[in-house]
Amino acid sequence: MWLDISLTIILLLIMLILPPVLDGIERKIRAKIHSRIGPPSIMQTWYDIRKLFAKELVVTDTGYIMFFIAITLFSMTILALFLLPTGFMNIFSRDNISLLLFSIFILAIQLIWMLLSVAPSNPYSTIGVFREALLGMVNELFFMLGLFALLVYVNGLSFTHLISTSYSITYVLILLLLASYAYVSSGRIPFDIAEAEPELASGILIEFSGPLLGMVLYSNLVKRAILYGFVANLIILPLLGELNLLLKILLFFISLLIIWIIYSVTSIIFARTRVDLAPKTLFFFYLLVTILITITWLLRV
Amino acid sequence: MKDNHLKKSIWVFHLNTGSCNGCDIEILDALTPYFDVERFGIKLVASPRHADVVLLTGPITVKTLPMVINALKAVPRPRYVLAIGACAVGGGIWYDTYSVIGGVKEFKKILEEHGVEIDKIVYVPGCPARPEAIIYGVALLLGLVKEKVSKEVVIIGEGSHH
Repeated sequence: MWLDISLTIILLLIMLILPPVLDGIERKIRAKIHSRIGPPSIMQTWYDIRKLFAKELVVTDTGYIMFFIAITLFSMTILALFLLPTGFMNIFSRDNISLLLFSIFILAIQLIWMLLSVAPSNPYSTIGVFREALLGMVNELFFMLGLFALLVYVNGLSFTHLISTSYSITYVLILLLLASYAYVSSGRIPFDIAEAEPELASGILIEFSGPLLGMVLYSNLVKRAILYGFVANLIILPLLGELNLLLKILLFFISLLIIWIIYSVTSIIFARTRVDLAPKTLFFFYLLVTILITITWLLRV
Repeated sequence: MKDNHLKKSIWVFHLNTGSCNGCDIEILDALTPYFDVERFGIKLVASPRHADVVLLTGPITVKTLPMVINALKAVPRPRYVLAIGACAVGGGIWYDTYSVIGGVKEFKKILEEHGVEIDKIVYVPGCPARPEAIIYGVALLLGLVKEKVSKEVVIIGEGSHH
């Protein structure tokens, strides 16, 4: 019991420290691909966040609303992190409905992001949130469908059910759908149209400054780690079986790092898509995968 | 705020105040992978609310003045300004023209009237300023390198050969 609680706390702390470090590694890799040196160390993103927390907060007309929504976003992100297994089923992810609850938190985080973007009365921010909503309509619809397929496939609502699942073509397709969802909702190129930096002056983030910006950026990185961690769990949990506990945890973090690197390299290859084209492309891709899932499901392969 | 925090992470915002675009192209050049300013933790941001340093180019025309004041007001403190190019430093060839403020020196007085404080200004002269000079200016601003120019005035007496 005490071992469980202490392991849960330690892994939670690691998951809180890790996301900006992973972002630092991503920046280093991106620099390598560009044939340049890049940031001085992989801790650069932490330095950025530390500086933002030390800066002044410029309070705008809707500053207080922004502040409260940002706090809600932060706490919701941390709550979702509590539920995420890290190779080890912690005391929260062992719950009967942990997978369902986790998905609700993920959807809520997306919703609060949109709320946060509406809060500042800035036209750039408003344009950003409309783009986000347009993409979200497609992305979240298929996330729910994918999740439904997953819940039916594993025959349960908890992360623990993933352990006894076996791989099949249907499972791989569901995995592909949810991995694509994680890629799109982490705001990576070509789907970063809501933030589209030079075009929309940082879009939804335009009015945030100092500690508030630091908190929002940190929440975004933790959200990324949660989404990628979710994909990592879907991949490794059915494979782990009766492995040593420490080995399981190590495997989780290695797969998290690999997924993060694969996603970052993919985002470097692509260019930003057109605003009207992004939801369309995504819709057809998701539709194709959903149809394939249905066919393989009916054929029982 | 500890200076150390800023030394490792510098977010810059590019502000054109009526420049001929010569210095702006040099700034863009400084931000390309060739010069790789990310080595120093420098990052270009699109909103003044995210910025630590404002890269100011141009002689500040009368038309752009209200927008420039607004943009500088939006920068959270400590706010630093890097005046880039001859025009930003002292007005350049436009220093006494009817339609310009005449560089940062005059601009500082106007900012004081509006209650906008600038914590530190570094001048990067040149027409246009070279990318190396711009990067050096940022390093100077944050105290990463020492100032080479002394503020003392040395009067050399008659009969000196120098």
